[in-house]
Amino acid sequence: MGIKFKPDSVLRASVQIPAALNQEEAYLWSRLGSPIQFKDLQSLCPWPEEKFLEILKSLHNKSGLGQLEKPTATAPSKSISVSAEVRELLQGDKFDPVAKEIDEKFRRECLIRLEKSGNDNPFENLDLSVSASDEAVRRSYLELSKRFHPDRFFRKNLGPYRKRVNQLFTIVQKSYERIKNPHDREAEARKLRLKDRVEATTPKAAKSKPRRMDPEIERIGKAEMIYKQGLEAEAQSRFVEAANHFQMASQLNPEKNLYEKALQKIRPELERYKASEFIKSAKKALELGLADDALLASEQAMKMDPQNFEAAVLAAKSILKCGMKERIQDAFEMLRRAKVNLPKNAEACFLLGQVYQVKREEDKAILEYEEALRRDPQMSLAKNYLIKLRGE
Amino acid sequence: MASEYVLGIDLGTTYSCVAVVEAGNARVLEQKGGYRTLPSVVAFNPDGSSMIGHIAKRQAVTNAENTIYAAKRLIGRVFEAPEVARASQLVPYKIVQGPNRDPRVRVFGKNHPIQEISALILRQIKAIAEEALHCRLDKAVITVPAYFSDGQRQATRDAGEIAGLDVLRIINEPTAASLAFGYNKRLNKKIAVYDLGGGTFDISVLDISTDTFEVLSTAGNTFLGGEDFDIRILEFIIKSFQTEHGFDLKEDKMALQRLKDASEAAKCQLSGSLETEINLPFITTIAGESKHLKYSLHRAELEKLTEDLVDQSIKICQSALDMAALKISDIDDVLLVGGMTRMPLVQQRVQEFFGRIPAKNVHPDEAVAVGAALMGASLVEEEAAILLLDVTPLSLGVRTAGGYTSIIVPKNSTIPTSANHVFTTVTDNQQSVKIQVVQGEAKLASENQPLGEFTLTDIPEAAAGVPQIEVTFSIDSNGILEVSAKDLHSQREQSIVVSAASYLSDEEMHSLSSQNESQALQDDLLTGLKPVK
Repeated sequence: MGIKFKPDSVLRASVQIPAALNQEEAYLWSRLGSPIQFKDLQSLCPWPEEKFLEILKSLHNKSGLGQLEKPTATAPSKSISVSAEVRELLQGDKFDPVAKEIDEKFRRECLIRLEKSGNDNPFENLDLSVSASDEAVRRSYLELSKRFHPDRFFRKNLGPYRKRVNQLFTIVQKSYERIKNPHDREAEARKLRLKDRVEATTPKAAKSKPRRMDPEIERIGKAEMIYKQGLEAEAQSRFVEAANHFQMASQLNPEKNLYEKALQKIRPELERYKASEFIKSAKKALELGLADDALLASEQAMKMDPQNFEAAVLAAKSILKCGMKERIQDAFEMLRRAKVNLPKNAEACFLLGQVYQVKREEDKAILEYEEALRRDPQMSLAKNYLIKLRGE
Repeated sequence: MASEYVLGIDLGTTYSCVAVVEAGNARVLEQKGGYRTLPSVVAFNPDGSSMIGHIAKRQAVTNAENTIYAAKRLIGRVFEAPEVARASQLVPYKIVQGPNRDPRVRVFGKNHPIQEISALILRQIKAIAEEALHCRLDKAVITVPAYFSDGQRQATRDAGEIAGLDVLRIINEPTAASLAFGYNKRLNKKIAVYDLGGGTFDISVLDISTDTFEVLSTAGNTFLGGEDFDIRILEFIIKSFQTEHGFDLKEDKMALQRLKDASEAAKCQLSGSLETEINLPFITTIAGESKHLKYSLHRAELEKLTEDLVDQSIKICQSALDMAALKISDIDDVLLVGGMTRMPLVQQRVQEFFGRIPAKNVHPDEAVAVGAALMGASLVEEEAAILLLDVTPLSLGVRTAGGYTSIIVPKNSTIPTSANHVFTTVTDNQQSVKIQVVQGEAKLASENQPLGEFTLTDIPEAAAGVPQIEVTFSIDSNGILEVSAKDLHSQREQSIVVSAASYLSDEEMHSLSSQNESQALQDDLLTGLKPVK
């Protein structure tokens, strides 16, 4: 025990599947597919705070949680000099919940290689000298392919680095195509020598010194960058991530109320998204026969998005499946509303029929089953119950 | 929660097979009755329910019009394609045109998309695997012929989704076979994989260096396979019967189906013996008189009938070698995959061409599924065990002025890959540009396979030729195309949906998969809810 969770600690699931989780722990674990902030996770879970903490801690004790925080940032590497642009991007990563989880050495390597690729030198791209042998070219190509092939990161969330890794793989690939056979390699080498000679004879343009940025401008710039990442996330329907970004941007630069507005604008979307996530987990829970969990999740979904009648149907179904006699009236109300608002949904009618049967109102149940069949003539369950009821 | 197993599924034209990796070893999952492959056959009953696999195949004779086989020959094609027309003539079921120019099969007055048929087979495979492993499964790697186009791959993936599978990857069949051959053996070899299956032919040339499998070239024909051999026998017998009795057996659907089964059986038998007999009593009735059919077929006769098919495949082998810039002597091993490679003539010709005896240690029916399972297991592992460098089999291009194809990604490019192309406008203040994407090697765009088209919109007003829109074509590891566009002036990005002719609409995908889901939920309720009494 003894671990503390701050509202902004980023949590994620361990890589190994922990053994012997109980239902609640498993539910929580399944919510940790991608890194998520403590407070977001809490809002996604149906339990009161105390219970939530208890479950989280026991999950942690069963080593179901990944590393909480990165150990203090690694000392700046001495060997490679890094350009201002790369340094800036690495700095910006600290504000990206995904990027900051990736090994810094790897991020640095990606950025430097990408920057170098601008020189359009296939030898440099493959870490080779112009006089490299056939075998060396192939060895280097295979090694770098292995390092940057997207399959290597199949299950990992790379955030902004996904695109960069893909780009690097393409660069490795195309560089290899250019120098893989000796004839082409000789031609590329000649081209490079010529280029060097031309550059040597023309006076070098004064290299612009990497400028120190005004911290104030840096802060505003950073906010803008984070905001843009948020927009990107929003465009891809990653609403939780987008909301986090907007919030961060507005904390960094409160004067610009565009950020706050973006956050407000995304709220309903976020709620709806969360509701749909809850519906998904409710469905999954029903499939696994965990009706209690399904009820909790679908009720959360209804709270988030009261207009979501699919959630109501799920909640009612869960009540029926649990056999909660005392809540049958709730189910009844939910289904009646769902039936009216979802005029094509046969399941609402079918379930309503079930409720009537529980209430021993068989005549009304028959009417509902008939309505269910009108809506979906294939619904064999409704058919079966109808036959049974009419048979008596 | 579904388990971590990843199914390796060989979704074949005539037979399918499923394998899984357990404790580092790949094994084929057996069905009840010990079958290791499942006939890719779906039959419908009048009430809309379906039968799949052996049971469907067994009843085909009496229910030919409602029994769908060889759906893989149609999947992802457009209705007008010559292959669809050819299939239409050969199968007893009806093929009609769907709303998106896609072919559909018509059974009991209902049109079924081909993806749905394949999904039914995949669902059965999923059920077989769940029963064999006693747990829920949803992850899969599905194989396709290397020579499948983007549309065919996309349609196969959609079928997987409809079946409730999370399709981690679509991989090429010969590549999968090479994994089964070379996994964990620390090889350093160049190999050729000759894959002649029920419906398709592929040849791939690979360079294996320990755990890296690099495809150097691939070629093939998606309409050359065992079925074509069966049809040769079938047509031969129909012709003989006609000269003898003056009756065309094609007019009798049931006779045709019986003859088709018998032709397949005869072909298989001739792989082991020199002579076989096709004996079908009461094949049909002519003018009230029952007719019997009895022929004996010699292996030499079969070889004469089908020799040109085998030669066709050997020619393709040569072009694959040329594309890989290799000589025959550079090849260290030749693998034979697919049931058709049991035919002695095929083995003989391959051996003659490559000048070496093909490797014996891959199972022609199971290697593809095993390779897919190995790939799946490698993908979900923390540290990937296999690196697969596959290629795109067909060039990808766009239609340019004059109707020519301008190639953007040439065939045999290693995937994933991407390439740019800058488009501009042809009239002043033009606001949108329509772009047609095609796949294939023909110079004229109209002769290539249409992949779809998209429209670039919101182009800022400017004189003709000024706007510069950079379109990026990315082919992912599944061989499936994604397109994005960027206005080079404003740096504004636009994502583009390529709507191909043969794809299912989102609504249709949704309704098919929810049909599937609600079926599952209803099944669940029946056991879960105790009837109130």
